[in-house]
Amino acid sequence: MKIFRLLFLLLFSGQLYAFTRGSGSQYIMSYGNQKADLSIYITEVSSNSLSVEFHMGTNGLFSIDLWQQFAFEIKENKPINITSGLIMSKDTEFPEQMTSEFFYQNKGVQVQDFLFQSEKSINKYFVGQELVELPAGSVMARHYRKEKEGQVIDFWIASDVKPISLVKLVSKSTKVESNNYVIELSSILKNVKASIDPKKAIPLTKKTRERFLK
Amino acid sequence: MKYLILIMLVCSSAWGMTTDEKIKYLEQRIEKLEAEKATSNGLKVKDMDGEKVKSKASRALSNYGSAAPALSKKQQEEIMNQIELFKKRSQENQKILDEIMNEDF
Repeated sequence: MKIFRLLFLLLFSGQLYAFTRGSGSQYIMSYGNQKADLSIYITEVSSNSLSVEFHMGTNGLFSIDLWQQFAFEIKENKPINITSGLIMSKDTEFPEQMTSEFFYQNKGVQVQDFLFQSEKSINKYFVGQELVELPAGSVMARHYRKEKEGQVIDFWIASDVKPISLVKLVSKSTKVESNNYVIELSSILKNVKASIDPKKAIPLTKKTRERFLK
Repeated sequence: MKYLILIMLVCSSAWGMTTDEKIKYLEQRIEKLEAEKATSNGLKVKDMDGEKVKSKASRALSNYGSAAPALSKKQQEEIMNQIELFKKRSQENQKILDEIMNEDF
């Protein structure tokens, strides 16, 4: 869960882009000896709002499928506001409405530290221009580093990779074990269908709350 | 045999075309495949073609579920018999192993 929240950083770290429904990026996430597939894609676009879906999947005997969908309100010259969040796993029949605790209870680097940050506002974290080798191929990207409460995040942004310009992220923490992971772009996604239908959403169940909000 | 069927399937889409039409058709195919493989920055592109994103394990399971022929009652009984036999043999092996382990020398 912490990773999902942090992944907002992937979005829109550069300037806002004309988003296309169904477009996104797929990443390989490595943590410890484990690997997971992580996908982020646009599900709805309008002149003043945007919906983004995250999927995390692992393989093997006990595979995981977890989806989260967030809706954002976009107003010119104003901070981006999360208007709703939905969560669904393969064990749940319906998507469930997340409460605000899901967005803001992370320790270390916070969602709002990155969310829809302009290029100008993240320039203070700029390290240098680098050639990054990824499972998706090689790309020139801007390297940034941000530190907060013992968590150090290095991330690489390639503004010509649309719609999500983040291509690599390395998170290290001496305090929180689960904040040690690497995310690398494995492919750019096109024409993805949303898994979560917001119309079918139900209030957050006790089971989901206990599972994700420890 | 399966290769022959595959070749026939591939060729069938270009069947009945003139040479120019075939060349044009193949050029379009190459363009499409290249566009799918790479963007202008050379990165890999995956076209989901309106599909939902799932883990590979879930996708394999759902594909299997839809394509797998149902087992007949006789086949199910046969499998159950095999499992019972396997269990019996395992128990026997375990018994032998236990005896060996507990044997006094």
